[in-house]
Parts: sequence; C-alpha cells; structure tokens
Amino acid sequence: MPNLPDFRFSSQSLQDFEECQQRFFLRYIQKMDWPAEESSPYLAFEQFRQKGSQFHACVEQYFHHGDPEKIERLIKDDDLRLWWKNFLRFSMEQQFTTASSEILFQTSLQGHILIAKYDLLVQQEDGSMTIFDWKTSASLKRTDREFLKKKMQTLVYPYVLCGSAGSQSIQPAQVKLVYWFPQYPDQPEQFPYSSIQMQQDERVLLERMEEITRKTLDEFPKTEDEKRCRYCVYRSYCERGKRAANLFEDDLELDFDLSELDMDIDQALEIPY
Amino acid sequence: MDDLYYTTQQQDVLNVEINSHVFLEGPFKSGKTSVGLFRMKEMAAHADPTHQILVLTPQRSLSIPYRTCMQAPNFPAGVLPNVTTLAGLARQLIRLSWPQITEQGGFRKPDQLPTFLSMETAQYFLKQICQPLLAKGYFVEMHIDQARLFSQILDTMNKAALVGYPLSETAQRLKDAWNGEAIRQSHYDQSQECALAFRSFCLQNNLLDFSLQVEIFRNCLARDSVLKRNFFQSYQYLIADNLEEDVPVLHDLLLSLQGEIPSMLFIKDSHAGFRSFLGADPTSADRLKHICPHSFEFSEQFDISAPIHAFQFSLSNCIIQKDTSHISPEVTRAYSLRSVQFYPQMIVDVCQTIQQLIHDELAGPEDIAVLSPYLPDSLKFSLSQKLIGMNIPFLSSRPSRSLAEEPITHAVLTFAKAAHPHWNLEITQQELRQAIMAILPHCDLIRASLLAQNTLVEKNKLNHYYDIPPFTRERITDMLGNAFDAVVDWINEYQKEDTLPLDIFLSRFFGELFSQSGFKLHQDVDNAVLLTALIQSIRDFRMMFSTLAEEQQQDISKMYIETLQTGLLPSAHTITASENDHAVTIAPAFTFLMKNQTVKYQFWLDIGNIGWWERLDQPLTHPYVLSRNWPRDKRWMDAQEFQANQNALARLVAGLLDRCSEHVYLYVAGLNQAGMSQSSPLLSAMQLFLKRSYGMEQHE
Ligand code: SF4
Repeated sequence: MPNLPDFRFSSQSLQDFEECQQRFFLRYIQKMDWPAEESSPYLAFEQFRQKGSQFHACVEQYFHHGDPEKIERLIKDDDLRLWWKNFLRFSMEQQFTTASSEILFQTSLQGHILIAKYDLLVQQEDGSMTIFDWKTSASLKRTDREFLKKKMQTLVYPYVLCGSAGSQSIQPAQVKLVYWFPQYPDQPEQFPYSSIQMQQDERVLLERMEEITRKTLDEFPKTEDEKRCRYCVYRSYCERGKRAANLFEDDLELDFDLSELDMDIDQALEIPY
Repeated sequence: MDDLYYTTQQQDVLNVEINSHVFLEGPFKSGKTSVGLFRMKEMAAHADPTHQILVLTPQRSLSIPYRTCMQAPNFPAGVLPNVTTLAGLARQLIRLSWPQITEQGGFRKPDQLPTFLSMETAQYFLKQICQPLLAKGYFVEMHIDQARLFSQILDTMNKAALVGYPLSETAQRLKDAWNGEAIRQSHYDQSQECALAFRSFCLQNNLLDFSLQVEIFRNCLARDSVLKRNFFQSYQYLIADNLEEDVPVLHDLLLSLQGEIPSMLFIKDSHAGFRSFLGADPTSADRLKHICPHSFEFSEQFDISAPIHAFQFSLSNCIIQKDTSHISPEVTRAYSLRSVQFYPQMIVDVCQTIQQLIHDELAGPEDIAVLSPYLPDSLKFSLSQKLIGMNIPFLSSRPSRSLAEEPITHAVLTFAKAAHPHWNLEITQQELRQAIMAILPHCDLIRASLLAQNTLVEKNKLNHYYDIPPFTRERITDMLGNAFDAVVDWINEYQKEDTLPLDIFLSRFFGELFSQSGFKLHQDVDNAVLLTALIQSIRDFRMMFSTLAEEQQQDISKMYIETLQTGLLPSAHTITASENDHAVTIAPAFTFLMKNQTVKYQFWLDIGNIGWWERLDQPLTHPYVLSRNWPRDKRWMDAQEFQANQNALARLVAGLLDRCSEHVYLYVAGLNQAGMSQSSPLLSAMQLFLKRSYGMEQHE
C-alpha cells in the first residue's frame, strides 16, 4: 500500500477489506468514483437510505433536547414513524445519564490510526459505557448475532473507545456494544467487552492493518464470492456483471448501515452530521 | 507532549493554565499556529464526550494544519475535535434544533424539513423571484449581466447577516454613503426589494441561503439561552485561529461564550484581513483581547528569507509612498523583473522559467505558484496547455469549466433525450455524432457521422444499425454498429419499465452499458469522476426542486437539462485536478493567500494590470460601507476609495512575499490580453522601487 499520510482505518474500510480486497483498494486507496447503481429497486433503495438517515437525524435531535412531539411532526413516512415510536419507547426504558450522539473517536495502534463514529455513546452513573448503533435493515429478517459478531464494527467500536485517553480511563469490562433495530425494538443484540476480548481484537486488528500496509498495489485481488459484486458499484469496472441485484430479494446477508456507508471521514470532521 | 522546539515566547503562552482565555497576536510565520496545535493536543489529552474541543477557522483551507495534526499517530486518542467554520456551526445548529426553531425563525412550513441552498441554488431561486421585477424595468440602466446582479444582491444579504444589521437597512446604509448619480440610489432600493422578496420566499418554503442560516443561528442563540447552553454544553475547549479573517458576528458569538466555555485560545494575524470583501473585520476581532486575562504578541518571524524580507519592506514603502532611507543590497537576489511586449510571450517565458527551475534548480512543482489578481479562463487555458506540453503537473484552484461544457455530459444527455421522447427535446445530428464518438471506442468522425445520419429519426428517436442499408453498414463496420445497437436495445428495454429520475437513469446507463467492456468508458476513471459530479448535481437538483417542478407541472429531469443550458446550475462545476501535493499552483492571488502555504518561487503575472489594485466593480454592494467600522454619517469619496485600494495592495504584497521563501518573478506585459497598453499602482510602485535602488547604487 502506498504511504498515504492521511490514511485512517475505520470499521467500514476493514469490513470492505474482509469482503473484497479489490473494493478496499478502489474505494480507499484509489478513492475512485464510479457512479453506478449499488442496488435495486432504485427508488426503493433510495427511500430506504433516506429513511435511515432521517431516523439518525431524529435521534440526534432528540439527544440535543428536541421535543419528541415536534420531531415527530416532521416525519411523513409510516415506517419511519413506527421506528420513531419504537425508539421513544426504548429510550424511556433506558437510563441515559450522559449521552453523546454522532460522536467521533480515534485511537492509534502501532502507528495505524483507527477511527469510529458512534451513533450514541452513553455513560451510566457507575462509569460504565454503552455504545449504541442503530441498525435499519432493508431485509425482512433481523440480522443475526453470528453475522454481527463477525463484523469488523463489533471489533473496532469497543476497541477504539477503550484505546482512547481523556480524563477518565475506561476499563474494557465497563464497555458494551448494543446493536438496536428500530424494526425489532425488543431484540437488541448486546456484546459485552472484556480485557481478554480486547487483547484478541487488538491482535486481529493489528494483523489486518499490517497486512494491508505491507501489500503492494497489485496485491488486492477481487473477491471469489461473486455474489458480493451484485451489490457493488465497481461491478462494471471489475467485469463482474451488469445490473445491480435486488436488495429486498437476495438471501445474501447484507448490512447497509447508513451511518457507515455515508461516512466520509473528512466531511464528518468538518460538519459532524 | 511532543519534542518540537518552542521559543521562550511560545513557551510563555503554553505555560498558561489550560482553563483560561488567551489572546495571541503576531505576523505570519511567527509561530502562532504551532502554539495552537500544541494547545489542541493538550486539550485533546483532557477531552472526553462531555469536555470536547471546538476549532473554528474562517474557511476550510485555514484549518488544514489542525486537521493534519489530528491525523498524526501521536495525536492523543479519544474524542476528536470538531473543526468547523461559522457556516458549519450554523448548519449544525439548524439541523439539530430545527423542530424548535422553525416557528421563532418565521418559517411557514414548520412540519417540513429545511433545505440548505448553495450559492448557485440561491441564485437560481433569486432569479425566479426577480424576473417579474426585472420585467418591470428594475436595474435597466445598469447594463449588468444577470449572474453578477444576483451575486451582488446575495452579497448584500450576506453582509447584513455577517455584520449584524437588519436586511431592511441595507439600501439606506448604501444611500447614506453614496456620492454619485441619483439613479444609483433607486438601484439600491430595487436591490433591497429583491432581497426582501427572496427572503420572504425562503421563509415560505423552508429554504435557507447562507445569509438566512447565519441570521437564524445568530438570532436563536441571542434569544434562547437554553438552546445556546444545550448547543455548546459539550464544549470545554475552543480554539479560533485567523480571527482577523472572520466576521463580526462570529466575534460576537465568541464574546458571548466567555462564561460558557472555560478554555478559549484566540489567534490573530496582525497584518492580514485579506477577506475584507467577504466581511472579515480585524478591528472587531480585537474586542476579544478584552475578555482574555492573558494576551501575547509575537513579533519575530521565522524561516523568512532576508532578501525577500528586504524586498517586501522596500516595495511596501513604495506602495504607500513612504521614504525609504536604505535599500538593502541583498534585495536584488529576491526578485526578477521581466518585461515583454505581448501577453503570450509572458506565458511562454513563465512556463520556460518553471521548466528551468524544475530541471536546473531541482525545484519541485509544489515549490512554485503562478499568481494573478483574477484567473480568466483564457489565461488559465494558455498556462495549462503549455504546462501540459512540458509534462509539468499543475493545480488550478479556480473551479474549471461547467459540467455543461464537458463532452461526456453532452453525450450522456443526448442518449437521455432519446430514452425519454416525451420530454420532446430535439437531438441534432451533430450532438449524436459527438455522443457516438464519446462512447464508442475507435470511432472516427466519418463513421460517427454516418451512424448519426442514418439512425436519427423523428427529432429524437434512434434506429438500429442493422436497419441501415448494407452498403453504408460496411463503411461503418459491424464492430461499431453492434456496439451502437447495444445502446439502442438498452434504451428500448428501459422504455418498457417505469421512467426513472434522470440521475438514476444515468447511473444505470453508466453501470449497465457505457462502463462495460467494449465501450470507451470502460475503466475510464477521469470520465467517471465527471459523471459522478453530474449525477450528484442532478440528484441535488431533484431533491431541491421536485416540489417546485410538481407545482409547475414540469418534468424535473427536463427542467434540469434546460437549466443546465442557461449556465445557472447548482453545483455544476468540476474542479480541474484533484488535490495534488506535487503540482504547480495556478491561482488568483487572494485564493493563494487563503491556503497559508509558502512556496519557494512566485510568478506575479502582468503587474501593470489594474486588477492588482482596484477592487471588483460591484455597484450594488460595498465591502467598506457595509461594515461595522463605517460611520453612518460619512460619504464614501474617491479619496477613501484610493486609500482603501492602496492599503489592500500593500497588504496583498506583504502577504504574498511572506509566503515566498526564495524568489519572485514579476512580469510586465507592454500590451494586455486585449492589446491595450496599461499601468497600475503596483507597476508604479515597482518603478519607484527601481528608481530608489538605482539612486542607492549611484550614491554608493
Ligand atoms: S465488483 Fe466484486 S470484485 Fe469488484 S470490487 Fe466489487 S466486490 Fe470486489
């Protein structure tokens, strides 16, 4: 990999590397724009993304002291209204002592920089911290635990938090990552953290980042799992098919997480929204 | 914290207890920002979600040192600082607090989301609002093109917001200071009427141009202390750099935060204020000194070349006509004055000198900047063609040509017209020929013409190649013909489904056809960048204007194409080159100053051009009169204009030479681009400088 002084790893870029090294190369090293469609049906996919990003915006307004009734008045879509009501119910049940939404953290691991943007970071009275991630899923079934467990996000998010300095030192055992699904409000997926887990994750993350950094430019092969190409904008560049596949029909476990998909780090730093 | 060396002066600032307010002032390169960076790292070591850092700069380019510092592996881990500008902060507050502020902000659709307008989209709506007034004869005596008219009206709106007076006062302020023909006074009234009508339209439709964003931000924070506390409560630390380039409303905000944010560091460059035409106000920035228990002034400049410094000193004195008792002999090493008769000779000489510097002096392209007061397309084109011919990379910071002028835009929109016959937009044979050449590989003019002539029917319908008589088909060749038929087949298939918005259509067209192997765009990264910008521009347009299009019963995609042709189009500009660290900079002098970057060699083009001295002709607005420092009972006379221009030139010259470490090449063209001979105060100052130097030599 060429020496890119401003390069920062994120859970999204590492996930891309896991799924297809060529995609990592094109997206993060070449920074190549390729304006093809990612997924069909096109308008439904666009609406799904809009709904997801409006949901994130509503929650952020809520944590900035927005009046829930006034926020709800801005919601025109029935699905989104249901997600919002689910969220309000969920948030009533929680005890959020100190909550920060859409917040960016960074840490470094042997010279490699890792960055994470949390949908919500909550500090409880006992000093423990919970990272919440809102998962608005396009498919009709909820993403399963095994799939989430393998996601780089599950490694990166708690690791970056525990690796951070600041006025309070954070013990891994006090950290928890919660995936919460607006469509399935009663089935959150929780991942408690620990020192052992942190050590394991650190090894994996370091290995991965070292591996990437050691590679030369022609060592980022295309994925062997061609199903992935059906939802990838670089499809025509890689000569891996023509049409984008239907997001709502395929059986491939996909996770179009909006906060990550939309995350342009530089932009996020400028206007954290 | 780090092992950099800090001077005693810097150390004194760094020793100040972190939870207090500090004001730091000094010239360029006196080490102020280094102090700011150290302080930011120190703050970051203490930061957490409830004690965050806010870094404010007047524009993004000025925040680069802070961003770079944050990207270093030794930057303290933890929550990252929020690096932004007044505009960024305003948008952030509006987005976060929209449900609370719609009513008090005067928006008529509190149940709908806001739309943030760019400069171009604001101009688009302003044009719609102004058309009936223009038809009534407004501004008819002015002979001004519409784009300039609208940008000046928007400028008056921005000034009111950034300086902090009611928009309805603008005309009176301008009239009070006006000292010329009476007709101008009615133009001020007309301009204000347009501005107020536009403002009312924006409030009606939840549209926020830049001026309204700032006004809402300012008013909400002033009126609602709870909202203000909530918005800033997570910030414990604040750094505001280049305060002299920022606007009074930002300074007001910082003053009001003195009790809410415990640790603030203010940094001001003492000889700058280059953005005054955008509302920057160094005098207003000085108010912040009074809330700081600790105030420091740096005077020494580091890494400044002695000859350049001496040249700066002497030339600045010549500009302000101050006697110089001594001109240092080393000054001759700082500059070369080159005189040519014709403009093109200057371009050739500049490029050849750049080539020599790179080859003989081993300068990197990034060590060189070519500067002029403005950068007209013709100048940029001539320079870029020469540099391309010499294989020298360059970076032009001026937005380049419009997307509408790109061949690939014409090509894809031509096929879009064919795919959507109900738009009733005609395709000419020439358009189709160009489009065919842009997408089919190895297609020459003759074969593209034959294909266009034989396949285009009924204004915008495309027939198949295989329907052409065999004799003509042979001349075209099957290879090209089959590729063309794939396009026709794709369009026919597309037409069987529901029509898609233009941006989605183009995205599909690109992904499913043009970028597939066998087409010219396959793996063509440059055109992919252009199409990404075009598709994004269309998508933005659709999101913003779909309600308006529905009301007017227009097809939004067709509306885009028609608007593109008028040149008034949202975000329809491409940037010539991506940020390249190893490229010659070609930029207007002001843009270069705002990069705060030092280069070894500068080329000042055509110093006889009056543009180096005179401010832009803006009959409907005024950077000095519409500022807090202008006394309302005074008139703006020629003497003030002269003095303001002199001061601006002196500041510009000092600022540029501060950012040059080896040598500056000054060019005098006997005849300008239009073939006219010319003179300017910069040229006169240089002549005076030469006379003085010559006098010194004789004397010695
Ligand atoms: S198209 Fe397939 S091979 Fe190419 S980058 Fe995408 S996932 Fe990887």
